[in-house]
Parts: sequence; C-alpha cells; structure tokens
Amino acid sequence: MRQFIARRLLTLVPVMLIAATIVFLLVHFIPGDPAAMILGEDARPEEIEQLRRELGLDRPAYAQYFTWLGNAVVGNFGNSLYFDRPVLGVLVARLEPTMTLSLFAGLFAVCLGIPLGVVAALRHGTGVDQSAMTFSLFGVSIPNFWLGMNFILLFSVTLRWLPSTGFKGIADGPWEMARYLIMPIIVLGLSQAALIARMTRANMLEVLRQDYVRTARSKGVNERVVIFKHALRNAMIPTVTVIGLVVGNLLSGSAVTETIFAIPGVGRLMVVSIARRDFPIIQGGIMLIAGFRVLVNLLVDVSYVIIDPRIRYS
Amino acid sequence: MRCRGLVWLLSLLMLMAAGGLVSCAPPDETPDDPVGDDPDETEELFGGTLRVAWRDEPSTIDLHSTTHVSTRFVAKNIYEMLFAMNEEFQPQPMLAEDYSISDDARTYTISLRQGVLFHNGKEMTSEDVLASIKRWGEMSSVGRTVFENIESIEDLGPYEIRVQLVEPSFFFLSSMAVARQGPVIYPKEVVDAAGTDTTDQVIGTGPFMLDEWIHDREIRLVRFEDYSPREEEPDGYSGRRTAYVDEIVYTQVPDAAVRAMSLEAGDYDFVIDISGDDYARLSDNPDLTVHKSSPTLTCMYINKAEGIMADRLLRQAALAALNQDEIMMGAYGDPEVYRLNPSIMYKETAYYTEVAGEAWNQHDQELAKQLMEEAGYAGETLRWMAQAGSEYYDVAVITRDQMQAVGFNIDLEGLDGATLREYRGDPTMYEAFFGGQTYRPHPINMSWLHSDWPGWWALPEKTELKIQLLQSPTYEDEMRVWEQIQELVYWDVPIVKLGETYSLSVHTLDVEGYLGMPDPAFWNVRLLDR
Repeated sequence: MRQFIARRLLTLVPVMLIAATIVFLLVHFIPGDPAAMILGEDARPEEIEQLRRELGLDRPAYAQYFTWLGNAVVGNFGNSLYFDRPVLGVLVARLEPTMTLSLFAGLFAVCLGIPLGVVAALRHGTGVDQSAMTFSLFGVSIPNFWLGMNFILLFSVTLRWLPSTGFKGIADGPWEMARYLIMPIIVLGLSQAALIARMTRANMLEVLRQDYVRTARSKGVNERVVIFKHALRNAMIPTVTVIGLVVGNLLSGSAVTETIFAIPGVGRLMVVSIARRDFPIIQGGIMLIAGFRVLVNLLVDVSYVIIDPRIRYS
Repeated sequence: MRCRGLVWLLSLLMLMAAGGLVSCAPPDETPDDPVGDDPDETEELFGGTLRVAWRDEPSTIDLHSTTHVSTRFVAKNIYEMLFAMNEEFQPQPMLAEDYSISDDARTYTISLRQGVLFHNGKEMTSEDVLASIKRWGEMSSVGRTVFENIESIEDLGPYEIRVQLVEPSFFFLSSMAVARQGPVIYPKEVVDAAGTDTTDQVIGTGPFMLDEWIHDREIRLVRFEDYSPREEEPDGYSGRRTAYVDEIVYTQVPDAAVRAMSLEAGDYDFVIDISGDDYARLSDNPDLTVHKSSPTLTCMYINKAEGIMADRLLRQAALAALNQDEIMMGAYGDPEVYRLNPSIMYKETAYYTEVAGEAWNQHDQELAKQLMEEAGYAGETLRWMAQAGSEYYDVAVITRDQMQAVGFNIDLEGLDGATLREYRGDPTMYEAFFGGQTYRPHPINMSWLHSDWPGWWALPEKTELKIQLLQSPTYEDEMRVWEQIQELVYWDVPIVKLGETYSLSVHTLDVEGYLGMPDPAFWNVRLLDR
C-alpha cells in the first residue's frame, strides 16, 4: 500500500508538468497580448512593443518555454505579468478562500447528497423519492450564478441577514467566516449534492435488490444494520468515485461562485488572468489544479481499500 | 488736544472691538456651504470608513505608467499635480502657487507652494517636480506629445521652475492637469529608484495615502494628517481638499448586478460603475443617489490603412446610413443612461461643439446608396469586431443591421477583450471595430487622433491641424482649430460616433459632498453615519 501511494505521488510531477506544457502552448498561441492589457485601452503600439521587450514576450515561444521550465523545476514559477509579483505568492494568497469554500461545499454536498440518496432509495416510488429526485434535478439544472444572485437578493438585500459579498477566514472567527461563506457554500455545493444524491440512490437501489440483502433480512437482521452495514457500504464504491470527481471539480469550478460573491480565490484569479493573458499565473494555476486532482484521485483510490477490504493494490 | 487724542484712541479701540466681534461671529451657513468654521461642528464631520465597491483592481498605482482607469480612480486621492481642473474644466493652480506666461506665450514660470509635504514627511520642492514631470514625459503618451514642444525645463530654486516651449501652446497648462496618465508629482527619490520602470512606492501629496493593498481583496487609503490644503473654495477638482473620512476601502466586486445589490444590502457606501440595466431601479430607491458622469464615446473605429473602408466615400456612406437614435436605444434600452449629440468632445469639457453636426444621425439611406455606387462597392465583405458580451457588441449588431439595409455585406465577430486588443493592431484583420473612448478633458487625449493608433488616421490635413491644436496660444485659438478638426472628422469619417454613455455611480444617503466629477474623488466627502 505504501508503495502504491508513493508511486502515485511520484506521478504528481509529470502530470503537473504535462498540464503546464499543454497550457503554455495554448495560451501562447491563442491571440491576446498581456502587454496591451497591462497598459490600458489607449496604449500606443510603441509602448506595447517596449513592454513586450521588458517582459521578455518578444522572445521565441520555445525560448520562453525552456526558461520557464528550467525555473519551474526548482520551484520558481516566475512573476505575474500583471502584478509583477511571484506566481507562487499570488496563488498561495488565494488558496485559503478557495480551499475553505471547496472543503465546506464538498462536505455540504456529501452530507446532503448521501442521506438524500439513501432516503430516496429506501422510499423508492413514493412521494419522498419523487420529491428528493425533483430537488436533485433542480440542483443540477439551476445555474450557479442565478442561484447566487437570488440568494443575495433574498438574504442580503431583502432580509439583511447575511453579507452579500466578500470573504472572512478562520482568523476572523468561525461565526464571521460562516456568515460570509454560507451562501457561496450552498450555491457551489448544491449541484454537487444533487449529483451525489442521484448516484447514491441508483447504487442503493441496485444493492438492495441483491440476494445477500434479501438473505440478511430473512435472517432477521436489524433493518438499520442491513441498510448501513450491508447495503450502503457496498453502494459506496461508485459513489465515492463520483465524490472524488465532485471534489476535483470544486477547486476548478469555484470561479463562477467566487466571482458572484467577490471571494478572492484561485478560481476568480484564473478567470481574470485568462482575460488578461497573464501567462505565468495561468500556468501556475493549472499546475496547482492538476496536482490537486492527482491527490484527490489518490485519496479516492485509498478509500476503496477502506470501504472494500477485498481490494488490494500490489 | 489730549481730549481729541483720547477720543481718537477710544474710537480706534471701539473699531477694533467691533472688528473682533465680527470676525468671531459664525459665518452664514447657506445650504451650499454646510461646513462652517465652528470647530465643534467641523469636528463632527470627520470620521468613518468609506466603503467603495468597484469592478477591477489596477495592476499598479503608478499613474505615469498606465492609462488603466482603475489606477486613475485610486491615484486621484493620493497624488496631486501642479494644476487641477475646476468645474469649467479650466486648469487651476494646485501644487503650483502661481504662474506667469511671457508675452510671447512660450515661457511659463511656475512658483510652487511651500510647505507641501509628501506622505513620507519630506517637503516637495522643485527637484521633485522636475524629476516627476520628466519621468511623465518619457512614460506617458500625452507627456511625450507635450515634450515635443518643450525646449527646456529649468530649476530656478527650491520653489520655482521655468518651462520654455518651442511654440506657444495653451495645451501645456491643460496637460499639467490631465488626469489620464497625468503628471502627478512623486518624490525625486522614488523617480530615481524606478526610472521608467513601474514603481510600487506609492508616495504622493494628496489628502489620502496608501495604507495597505491586499491584492484581489482591497486597497485601503487613510487620511494624510499632514496634508496641505489650498485655501480656495472647492471648485471641481481644484480648491480646498479635506479628508473628512478616516479611511477609504476599495473592494473588488466583479459582477455589476451584484455590486448594485451589495449597495442596497448596506455592505458598501459607494459603488463605482453600475450597469445601465440597474439604473431605473436604483434611481427610484429613495435611499440612494445615482450620479451620471464620466461619459464614454461609443464609436465605430474604421480601418483607413488597408481594406475597402480606406475609401472615404464608403466611410461617408456608413455615416449617412446610420440612425443613432435607434442604435443607442436598441443597445441600451433606457434613454437615461445615454445621450445623443454630434460633438466629438464631451459636454463636460471646454471643447464641446456641434460644428458639422448635420452629417451625424442622418439615417439617409438614399445618400448612403448613392455614395456606395460612386465608390464602386461590389458587395465585398466588411469584417467587424466587437468584444463579445459587451455593450459594444450590442451596438455593433444594430449598426450592422442598418448598414446591411443599404446593401453593405458585413461579418461581425465577437471576440474576448484581449483578442480584440491584439487584432485591432493589425490592419489586415478588419474593416472596423467597436469600442469606447472613456472621458478625457482635452481633444489631444483622444487616442484615435494619433496616426499610429488602430484605425490609423494619417490624413495630412489632420496632422497639420493637430500640430496647430498643440501650438494654439489661447483657448479661443484651440477651439477654432478643434472645430476645424471636427469638420474634418465629419468629412473624412475616421470614426463614426454612435452616442455617449454615462458612467453610473451610486451612493447611499449617508454619503455627502460627492461632486460627481468624471473620475470619482473622495476628498470633501463626509459620512453622516459614522
């Protein structure tokens, strides 16, 4: 198992570099000049050219790539073209909001989605099942931005219960953090909860039809034990796979939520950096997201072993 | 004799006593002058944190280095220039104490105010002014234009400089007050350390100073306690500036609709730039005040360097065909958020004119077709560009429909902002692109007026008039030349003006004293609820 984990961790480096290389090629060959974006709308051609020279953007793409690669392998990801500050520092400063939002949105999605899916499966065909699935249908259908803006309209503008935008971290106190994050957490987590609920329900229905479940019931095993020990545990493997995908999506998919709620996170930074063609930030951010995905996938694979002791990695 | 002297002395004493009583009495407080001299009352007006929401933070606060509008908004409260625009958009002394112009209008002798401190405690002197203006002349496109006409700048002592022009130019004084990438004054040490690289040392002489900048979160300014205000009454950007609030905090809220809602939710006191879609709702809110300011010229910029629209007749046909009323109404939907007039310069400047305006908003389809026939137009495709998802794309769609109605064949492409900005620099890529010219106080600041800016208006007559504009010795001379340029615009059609849209700012009723000038400035702004 340790070897398995170590081997998977080693794949982090090539995965991140491959992702960054692909992104480098994409951003350098799509149109858009960061120098023009930095200088503003009235910039004259000679000013843009001068800044391009200062930023090294006039060098051939392959020269820029190898310079970047050589620095990246020693942990130097260059400076943001827009802010002229180290990429690592820029990204790290924005990690807390994104990780906090993603973590709690993921917890929300799991804590809502799994019970909802279980209840729907157990009450299959009833009004409870239909209500749960209708709710999950809305959850996957409603756009984040629409939901977010309506939450702001209701809870901030009309009721004045919650602040409309911004971020407070744990250092500002858990209550303040909760006030600022509760709406974005629900907005970001709701569609993921819906997805988890649907998968859980489908997997539970399949497992509940299995012979061993019927056998357990016929032997008089307590229904709670049947559901949680026998059925749910066996239904969790595919559900955990989906949870892994969901958690992976949260980091990269938080951009819309962060934009609506003005949360200074990695997602929003990526969106504006793409608009500004801030190449170093885009590459650094993609590497971060790719690395996160690898770690999440590893955690999912490890969890399989915990859920199903028959699984072993050689 | 002694009695007469005593009477005289007593009379003098009575006069002095009467004068003392008058000077101690509180002045009349009219509704236009809410700030009295009573120190207790004045004291009550100070305090609080002004919470400002805006769309996008700047890359730098170094105003010499960029035309980015966000830089200008925050720099306005931190830095000052030798001159500042009053409400009539005439330059008035700001860091300058006074100035004189020689009889031949080529020599400006400017005396500086004494005792003006930078935020680092150092007193401003002529060496700081010289260093800053020279840096501005190297880094700013307006500065480079001005410096083409400067023969020399002399340091006459710690509080005086002399500028020798090659030719007389009324624009020189205006340029010393221009906000866009303007000649703000830095300490010489900051200039020496940065050279022409962007500096992150933010040290000015303004009523507010930079306290903290947490990127992507907020920019926090605090009152500069040792600020040296002018004595004159506030008049536009000129006159006395008082930092009533303790702090100004700028926070990014990228989405325009959310910015508006955040204000309604009470999370901010002031919002810069709301969408026109929210104008009616927010105007009807009795707890809010909406300001319409800082108009932007919405334009079709035509490629005159290459392609079929290099033919003047076709450009004239485009101008003749259009119905600007329909275009602006269709794109913006609410006539309160835009306005229509043929002047290429804004009403909020000293250069508004409707000369040659009969050529604008003609919607004369017959004339357009006639001109197209004269030009020999054979249905070639005109490639247009506009930023996808922006108001300019909506404008371009309606404009396209109107021009297709007279027979033009148009392919409109929506591009993201960075792509558009790159493509517009390549004359082989398009026949026209759509965009806006944000507010600027002097015609020479219009970017499309320069031959090397996208569109490439290199007409010799224009070049000659531009030189005359820069070398006009008086405002009246400038205006005469500008009117000739506007006539040329309506004859040669380098751009088509479609209309003007307002920049909409909103604040709560707790905010008092905000002037609504084109760029938001927060000196003299008070918070009623502190």
